Amino acid sequence: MSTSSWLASDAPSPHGAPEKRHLRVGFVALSDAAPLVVAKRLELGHEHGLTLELSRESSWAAVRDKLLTGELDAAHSLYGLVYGVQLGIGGPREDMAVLMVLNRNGQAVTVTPSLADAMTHTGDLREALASLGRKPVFAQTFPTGTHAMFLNYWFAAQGIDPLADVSSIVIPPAHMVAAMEEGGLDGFCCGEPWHAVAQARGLGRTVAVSSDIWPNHPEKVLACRRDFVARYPRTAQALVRTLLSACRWLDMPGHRAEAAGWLAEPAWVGAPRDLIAARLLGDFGRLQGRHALLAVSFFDEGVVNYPHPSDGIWFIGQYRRWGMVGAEAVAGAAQTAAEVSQTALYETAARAEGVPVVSSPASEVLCDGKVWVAAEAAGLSAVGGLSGLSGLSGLGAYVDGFAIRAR
Amino acid sequence: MAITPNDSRKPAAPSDPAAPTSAVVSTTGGQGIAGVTSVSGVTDIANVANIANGTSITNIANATNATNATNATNATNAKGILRVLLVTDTDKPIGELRMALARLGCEMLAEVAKPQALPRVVESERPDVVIIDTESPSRDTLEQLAVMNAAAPRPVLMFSADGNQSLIRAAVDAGVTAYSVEGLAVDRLAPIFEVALARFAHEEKLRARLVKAESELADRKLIDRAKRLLMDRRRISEQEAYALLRKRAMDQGEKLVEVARQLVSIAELLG
Repeated sequence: MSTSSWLASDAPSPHGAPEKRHLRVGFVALSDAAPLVVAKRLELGHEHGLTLELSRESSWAAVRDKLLTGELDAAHSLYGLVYGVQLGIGGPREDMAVLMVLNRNGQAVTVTPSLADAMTHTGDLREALASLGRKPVFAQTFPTGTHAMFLNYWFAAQGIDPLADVSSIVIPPAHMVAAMEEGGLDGFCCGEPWHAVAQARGLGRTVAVSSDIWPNHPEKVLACRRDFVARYPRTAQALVRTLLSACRWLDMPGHRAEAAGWLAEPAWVGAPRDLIAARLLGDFGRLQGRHALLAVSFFDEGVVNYPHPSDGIWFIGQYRRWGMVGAEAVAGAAQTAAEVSQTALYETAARAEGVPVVSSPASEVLCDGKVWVAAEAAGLSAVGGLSGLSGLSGLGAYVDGFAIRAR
Repeated sequence: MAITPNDSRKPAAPSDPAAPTSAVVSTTGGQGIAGVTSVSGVTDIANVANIANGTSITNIANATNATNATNATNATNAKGILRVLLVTDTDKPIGELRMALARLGCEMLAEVAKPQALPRVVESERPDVVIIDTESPSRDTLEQLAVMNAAAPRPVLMFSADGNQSLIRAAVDAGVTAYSVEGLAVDRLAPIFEVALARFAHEEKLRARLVKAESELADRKLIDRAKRLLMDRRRISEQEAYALLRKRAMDQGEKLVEVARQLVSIAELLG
């Protein structure tokens, strides 16, 4: 071809070409949308035959609806949101897919300066909250999402019943800082850069990072409808390869600082570059943590990205803990998670991209001292599991083992 | 927020707006796109819409009342008057639906402009329906209420086989969505969606046309740059350059503007 010397690398062969080349991918304005922003800025999709069109969404509800209508092909999504839709919790039900994990860690809990002081002085969160003289109000991002579950877990670990003792409200992350300023909000759990912004403006102090609640917890995923994977398998693979290379890029020296500059732009996140960069690079100021404070991780040689079904089972367990699903969801948890987590597709894409396939999930000690033995999670909840009776399966017993839970 | 025109879905058929609405679009006419692009910003589009709709909401509401009065009134009276809450936390003038919905017989509750106020208001006022901008960040606040309280309004399902789906989808396209209490028949919501659609549908069309026009302009500039690059480097005419781009696009199964984008990008690297 006469023009071949001019143009980008040759298109993939017809046999390997994606079925759909132009993809609309949604995201919400948070620092951990970085893999999508990087993928677009560097046009990493082109090598895999894709053109990405990113669509900034104003709410997680909008992401969900647009995935369901097909207006979005895929999206940066809270881990839990996918399972909330899969189980039809408080909203529409649809078969969903987790293609890969985009990041682990990187979230936090920030409270008002006065509450932070009370926590330091008393050394006890329950006492500090009692000193408010009223029911504390805490905000998170979405009822079935990561922040809601981590916040509940964190409260319960410190002897506080999040359903009875705390008023929980969802406020959009960008509004949380303003809400702290107006008063009426004692703390919030969400993604960055909003914690850094609150702290910089003297409106809050970060008192916990999410890695302290559950080290290396799954956070955002690349989500889509399951029938998208069925109809466009090569496209889904190409998309995973694209995002894997974006995640790998973010782990290379100097790249997070560069990405912070892009994220600062109004079209992406629209917050001060230095505040975004500090948290991306794991600078939490003087914050002390139970474990080493872990920065957000996007790749970690592929450890981050494998879509472990055990992650989904954890969320289903917590939904049951807080009374959001019935026993049947627990009995079917392993199967649900196996169907949602696109492990086969991910493994093929990872190998093609030269990314190590890390299929065994790590066990972790959570902030209440309980060990989440991820590798055994699937066995916790097989239909006809340990005791053969729904509600008394291993996952059910695990949930019942929490002192603080819905009654 | 990226406003992206949606090509992949079949457009839902909106309910037929009154004549003044069509007149707005036709008076801008053949020069319409230029006329629209000379308007600065969304506020002006809203004003253009308002000029038409100042009268058309009345017309539509009256038409609805006149033709459907018996049915609508009987329905709401038989099962109680619908209590409607408007969430006015974005630039979209959702509050302007108040009068038209009141004329339908809805009981209009005091509006809420901040997400923090929603839990208290939903708890104390018990709306049957909450109307909110599809792009409002406060939707997630409503989602929380729906999950934590079975009595709270939940997202209206757009994905069922229900016959009202196309109406709901059209309203969502126009930028308005609703949450309603469980057990509320969707066809009781239909008049509300019709009102929302009448108010906002053509505004959404104008906005979509504006976005499309800007995008076409950007594409044309990119193609011009690509043509000039080829003309300079290969000493060919404009027609030959265009023909090369088009052939490449056809061979690769790509849009011409994508080929142009790749060429310009590579040329920048090559210096």
